[in-house]
Amino acid sequence: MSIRVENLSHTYNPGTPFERCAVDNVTLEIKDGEFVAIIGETGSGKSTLIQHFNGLLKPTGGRVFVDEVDIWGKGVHLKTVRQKVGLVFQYPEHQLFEETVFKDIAFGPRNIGLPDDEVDRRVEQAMKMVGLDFEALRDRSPFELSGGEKRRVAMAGVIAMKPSVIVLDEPASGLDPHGRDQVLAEIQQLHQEFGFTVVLVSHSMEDVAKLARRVMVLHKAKLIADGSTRDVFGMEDVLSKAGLEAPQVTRLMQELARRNMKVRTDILTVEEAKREILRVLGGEGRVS
Amino acid sequence: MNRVSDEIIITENLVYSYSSEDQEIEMQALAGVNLSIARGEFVAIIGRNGSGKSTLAKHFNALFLPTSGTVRINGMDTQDPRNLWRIRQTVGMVFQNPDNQIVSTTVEEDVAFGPENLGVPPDEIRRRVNLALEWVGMSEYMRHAPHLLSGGQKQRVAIAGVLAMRPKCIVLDEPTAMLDPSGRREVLDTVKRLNKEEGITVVLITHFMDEAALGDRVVVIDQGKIVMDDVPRKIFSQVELIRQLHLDVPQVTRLAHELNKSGVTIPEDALTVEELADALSGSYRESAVASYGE
Repeated sequence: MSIRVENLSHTYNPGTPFERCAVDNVTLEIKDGEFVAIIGETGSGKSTLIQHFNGLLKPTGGRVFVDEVDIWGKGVHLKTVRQKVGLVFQYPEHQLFEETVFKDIAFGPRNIGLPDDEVDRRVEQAMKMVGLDFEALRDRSPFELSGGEKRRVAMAGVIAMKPSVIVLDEPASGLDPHGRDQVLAEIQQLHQEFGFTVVLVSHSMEDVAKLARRVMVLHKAKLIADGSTRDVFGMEDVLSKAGLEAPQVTRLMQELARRNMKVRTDILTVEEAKREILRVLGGEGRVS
Repeated sequence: MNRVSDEIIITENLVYSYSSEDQEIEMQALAGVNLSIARGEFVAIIGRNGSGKSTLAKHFNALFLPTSGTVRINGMDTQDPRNLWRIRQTVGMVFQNPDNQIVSTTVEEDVAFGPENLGVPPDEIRRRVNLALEWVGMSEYMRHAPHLLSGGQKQRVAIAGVLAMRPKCIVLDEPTAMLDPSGRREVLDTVKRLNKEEGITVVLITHFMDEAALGDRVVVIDQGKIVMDDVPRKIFSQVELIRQLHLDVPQVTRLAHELNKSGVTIPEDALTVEELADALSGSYRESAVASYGE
């Protein structure tokens, strides 16, 4: 499943004094099976952009293609588009409302008229995919669960619709470091084991560095960078223009290079930094 | 007797319990907390979700009252209802979601809300609002509508609203959880400045370890108890213990720890990029010198 947007623009309240252009002429393509991150400051247009991916917002200019079909073209049912592209909003646990975990996750599949046994199957499968114990939790109230569990229930509700693409807006915010690692590990697994295409919107550059293979940077409604995670986190000027910062370890390597240590600077994780520093201290790459 | 003390917050054997929904089990959110915070300190409180850190913070301005034990704010017992208003003026709270803390249609009215409620005379309110906005760097937004500001700006307005009450201490409960990186920086710079320049005591509750590292002191709460209480360097150099508590350490601290495990002898208590770069460029020069001698 691919998503392609072509010269996409979105202006809120056009023709009024409150007119504001939130997405300005953005062209990008997310290919099937990719893990992409979108980063940028609050107000840079990230949320507006992702709401176009499944037709929640209609572009005021340009076009959106899901699987090469123009989703605003004639005869296209947005309902099918929305099943293909699942959106998990920020703090999705605020949208839980049912009495039991099962009912909450089953809401979407029931709504599209699936038979009971298929609904059962999907709920069980979705819970397994996000690491929730089906038997132990199905009849519990979602409101009694921990923050991390609630969030996974909300994610399961989206997954139960069997989308091919999952778009997650700040999936780890507000969780403690351990809960954060858990949710991110689930997302990693959804991508690697179950083959979902994942679009991650996040303010945590460390999480983005760990997970995404490709990063897009939005700034003042425009796409100002789009490349491999290593390349983008190496663009210090682009990041600072966008009000962002590479992860601590990346900045450490950049600082070491400035101090004439012959280290690679395209480092994304603590593990990679460790290997590179050991290599350099171990003798290779030393200044002669 | 008029007890003069250097402590602005003192808790003694603080226990807070509540019953579960079906009233059957008594849960202890706080299970005997003894904590003293001195005037002018910057203390970070960290702990996993559900550890009791927010419950503790809500005792600092009498939003919650102890089930047993005592909490004294500037010497005033929070159990005594006569102290309530003076306690709330002494300790101001800032919460996670800036949108839930806005009450007015312009920034200056929002900041004036607290002192107006206290019956402060208009001239004095004017002075306080101007000063509070100046302290958080938001003077030029005085007549703006708060809902149109960025997250970091909204939080700074919320902080100004607290400052206009002339508190001695500010308690911030995950003030940056919903902000982007530059919003986070704005809020933290503001908080640090208020602490250093105006001498306001700061209690910062956070899930971001790099923010906690800014404190003079870090208190770690787990299962309703204080399990660690020390300067950031001493706390974060205990990488294994911190991770067992479902927390983390800043990336550079973890890297220093990992390098030590692999035989690179550098201080394990680096907290910033600068510090670790200093340590590493030192051992890099040494290894270069050593190789000349070979």
